[in-house]
Amino acid sequence: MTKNILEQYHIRYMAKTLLRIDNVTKQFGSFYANDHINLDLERGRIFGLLGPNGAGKTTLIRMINRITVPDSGTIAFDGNPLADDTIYKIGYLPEERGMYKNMTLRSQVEFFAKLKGVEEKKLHSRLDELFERYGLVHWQDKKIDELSKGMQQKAQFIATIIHQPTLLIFDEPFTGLDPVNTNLIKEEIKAMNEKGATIIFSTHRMEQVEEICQEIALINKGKNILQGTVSDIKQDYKSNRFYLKTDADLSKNDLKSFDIHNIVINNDTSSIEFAVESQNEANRVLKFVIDRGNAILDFHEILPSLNQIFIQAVAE
Amino acid sequence: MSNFFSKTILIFSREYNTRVRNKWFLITTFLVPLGIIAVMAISGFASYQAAQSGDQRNVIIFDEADVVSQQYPRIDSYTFEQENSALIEGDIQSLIYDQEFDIVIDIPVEALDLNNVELTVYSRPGISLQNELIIQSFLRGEILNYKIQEAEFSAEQIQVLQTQVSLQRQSITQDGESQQDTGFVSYALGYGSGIIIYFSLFLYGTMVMRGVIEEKSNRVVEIIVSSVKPIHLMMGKILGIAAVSLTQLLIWIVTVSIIGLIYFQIPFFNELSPFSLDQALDAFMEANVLGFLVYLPLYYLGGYLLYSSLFAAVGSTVENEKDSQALVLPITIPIILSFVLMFSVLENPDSILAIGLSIFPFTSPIIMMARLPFSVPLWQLLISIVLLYTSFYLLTLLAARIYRIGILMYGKKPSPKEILKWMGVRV
Repeated sequence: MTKNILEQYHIRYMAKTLLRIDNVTKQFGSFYANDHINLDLERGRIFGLLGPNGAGKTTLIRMINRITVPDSGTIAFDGNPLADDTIYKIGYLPEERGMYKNMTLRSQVEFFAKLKGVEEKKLHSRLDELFERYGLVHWQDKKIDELSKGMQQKAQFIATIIHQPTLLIFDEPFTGLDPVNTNLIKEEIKAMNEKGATIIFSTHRMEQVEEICQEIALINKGKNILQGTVSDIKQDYKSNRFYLKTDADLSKNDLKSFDIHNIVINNDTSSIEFAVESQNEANRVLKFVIDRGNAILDFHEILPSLNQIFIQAVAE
Repeated sequence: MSNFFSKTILIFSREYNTRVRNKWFLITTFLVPLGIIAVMAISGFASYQAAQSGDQRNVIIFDEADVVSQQYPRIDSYTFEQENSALIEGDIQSLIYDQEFDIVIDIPVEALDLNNVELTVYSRPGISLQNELIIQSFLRGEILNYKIQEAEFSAEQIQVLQTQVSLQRQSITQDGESQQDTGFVSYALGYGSGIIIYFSLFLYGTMVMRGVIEEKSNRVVEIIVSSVKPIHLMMGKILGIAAVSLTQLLIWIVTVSIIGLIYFQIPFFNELSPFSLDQALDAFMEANVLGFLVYLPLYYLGGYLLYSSLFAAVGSTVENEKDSQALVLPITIPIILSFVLMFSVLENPDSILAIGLSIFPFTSPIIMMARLPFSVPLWQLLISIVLLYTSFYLLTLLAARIYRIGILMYGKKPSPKEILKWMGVRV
């Protein structure tokens, strides 16, 4: 009976997890690029892989793509160990990306598509569709050399998604992109996700992650130091600080009777920040201001940015 | 396995198609035969010009004793005249400058008594006496005949004295088989094939290296190795460029043959040619042409494969061509060495050195070509070819180890020690 339940649980669990990284270690000489990394990636999520330069993100991504193999540990895709045909289900936009300068845009993307196993009969309708969507129809017979940087990046993006992969991996996708194209690619990533693709988004720029990713993992010096949903992690790392803005100044004297500390009063904007031991004290402060007849313009809990969390987590 | 083939074929066909359609390929492929036509036409035209109007040489021989018969040697643009009197020293100036004789030869009677006959030839300063050797041997024959006649030999005795000497090479193998050695054409074929292999090793080896460096510095390589194993990428590239080089070689052979055939059809060239089309074809058939048709492609390909995997490995360790020089040097040394040693092998094709170098895989592609005209035993050819292709296989495995790590390393140039580590050597 117990065994049966476990089996059922296992089946449900496998179905939910698309990528499972289990105790993966990769060493270059005496240097640990990845040191016993464990990650579970749920299907249909946008997953942020965060860490400073040199933390081991690209090493991990290369192992998922079977460019290199782990020294120890396993990586499972859809419940199975990585195999030759796994790469057809993965789309990868590397940080170091480029194209053959002397090939035409269309033959270039065609070449990448064939490498990713797109069948000949589906290839051309798919190319037409994508070139149309990204406004490259009139440029498809031009050599890569003759295209603007923005167009080249769009072409690379097309090459990444052309085989309609289940898992998309973007390594620093916005490096070198102007704001217009950054936004375009960001919207595309979200759209791909809504259609069911699971996405790994690797970056060292934390601020980009907060608006896109549902779940993140923090990697530092090859070790996975944190994993969870963005809101859970923020809850874990919050310091119970609140922000209150009213239409009148508050003085330290007004706040004397409350059990609050680390108070910062800013008279220019009629706002204060304070830390509390319990949520209840924050409510009392709020009630006091309301009872005094002041208007509440803003009141919220101050959550740490991922950047702050990262610095704190690394320090720990 | 089928995956290996389909991926390698994809890389191969991209490599082949983009290179064959490249304008530089078209330019070099068709420029070389055009260059050959141009050189042939220019040299043909030059000698035609010389024959037509060019340096006419009027020769006068002062032949007091009537030594010289009227059968002068046939030399283009030379005319001979004879004066059966002694040359008067005071006349020489007027002979040359007033009567416009270019060359004045004096055969004084007294000289004919000596064994060593020294004759004086007078001419204007700055006139080179081309065909000097022909004139010299003509006069030697005439003087010899004169002396024989003077000695009053009988006609039979004279016939006995007349002797022609020509050399025919015959070589004996260890098993006692004797075969006629091939002549000039096969010598030229061996020499030419050696040079073709020498240049293609450099040309296409560096083409492979440049391709690898381009992919790496372009950063296109990471996208490709996420769907293809590095060894497939490397082999696809090497084989693709091999196909390009064979295409080019084939075009050259075909066009040069066509040009050659046309050459003999044009009367203008035909007249000038020292031999006829039939003679040329006979010479080719007599030479070991069939042997070259088998062994040239085998060594051409084997040598290319062996060296290009090394060039690919070097290319993978650097990000631009400049940095590759120090590492390319050790690869090119055996190529250059084979080329230099080819000449001494042609002199002495059965020496221990020649045999050794034609079996050693790094020198065999060029050296064996030089030995091929001189009847190489089959066992030596077999050992040499098996060694060449086996070392290609083993070396490719080693090169692939460097390659798969090298192509993903950016920044610092790896030290030789690090490269050895990539190959799996403990240092």
